[in-house]
Amino acid sequence: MRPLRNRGPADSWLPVRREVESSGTSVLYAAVADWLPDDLERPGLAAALGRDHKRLLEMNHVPNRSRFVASRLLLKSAAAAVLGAEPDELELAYKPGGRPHLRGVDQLDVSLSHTEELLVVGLTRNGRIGVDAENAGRRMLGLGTERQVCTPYELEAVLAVPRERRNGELVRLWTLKEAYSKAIGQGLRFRFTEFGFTPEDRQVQMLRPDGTPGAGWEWSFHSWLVDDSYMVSAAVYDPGFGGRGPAAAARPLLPVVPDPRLSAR
Amino acid sequence: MDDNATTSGGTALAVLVEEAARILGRPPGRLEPGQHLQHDLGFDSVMLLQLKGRLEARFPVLREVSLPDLLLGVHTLGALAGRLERTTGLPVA
Repeated sequence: MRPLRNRGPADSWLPVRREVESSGTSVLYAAVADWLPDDLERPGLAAALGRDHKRLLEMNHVPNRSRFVASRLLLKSAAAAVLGAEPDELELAYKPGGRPHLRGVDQLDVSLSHTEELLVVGLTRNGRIGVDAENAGRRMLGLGTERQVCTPYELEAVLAVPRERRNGELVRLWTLKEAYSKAIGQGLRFRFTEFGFTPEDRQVQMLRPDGTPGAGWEWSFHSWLVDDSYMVSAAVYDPGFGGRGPAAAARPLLPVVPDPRLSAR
Repeated sequence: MDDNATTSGGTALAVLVEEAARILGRPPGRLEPGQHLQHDLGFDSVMLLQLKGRLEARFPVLREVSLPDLLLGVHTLGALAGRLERTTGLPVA
């Protein structure tokens, strides 16, 4: 799986639809500028955003407002294309921990992330998905963050990486952890030092703090460098209910996701 | 109580504003207790981690507190100062 680039509302959704149909999951990305309306006061935006419009009105930070609007428009359009609906027919709602979902739509799980000029959306029919993005060059090393982000095993692994790639490795681990926490609906609600991931030269797996395997086969983790600038990570939970293909549309409620950290203790 | 905290005004809010302003690159005088960390000031998750790291240097007791425990249900600078007060024992203002 590779993230698919979307170039705005006029771009084709066929690649996304095909990928969801064939594999059940798609991660796509776009530029904020491609999805930002010229006028945030324009009539119709309230209908397009639904209940999120009230949240928009409470925001004063201009870049956050732009990313907020553009990411919701992208997510609803992508989900609508996959579901064969109109974007305005879908309502984006939030669980108590902040996890987004499409109200009344149980056959498609969604996740979104945005940073700087980038928007990322994850869609899956298979179970749960979480996505996260960060500027790959964003300084995280040496700010006191690594101790809050890394397990002891990860700290050792990060320090073993050549100095010039060390910060990028920390950013990769951070986006993986954010993606996973979004997938299970926890946001920032637990310590990131309770679980870790494999070093950059291996297929990504979740690990216990001591470095032994920590999650079952249902989980897959991915990281990509996008546009040579952004680290994008995805965590996908697929319990193997056969969510691929047309029959998936009729599948019942999404499964309750067990937290692998509980079995890791 | 941390010495740095005492010399910087001595209140949780003053220390918080000082550290938040450093991360944002803004003068502390432009920050107000009612401002929303995300919606008004543009804090993202990495900046919150950074803030926690800076506050830990001022209040070592915070090393025992997880980021979620510090931030859960807290949206404004003033509310975070209140949480800091309960954690560190410093008065809010």
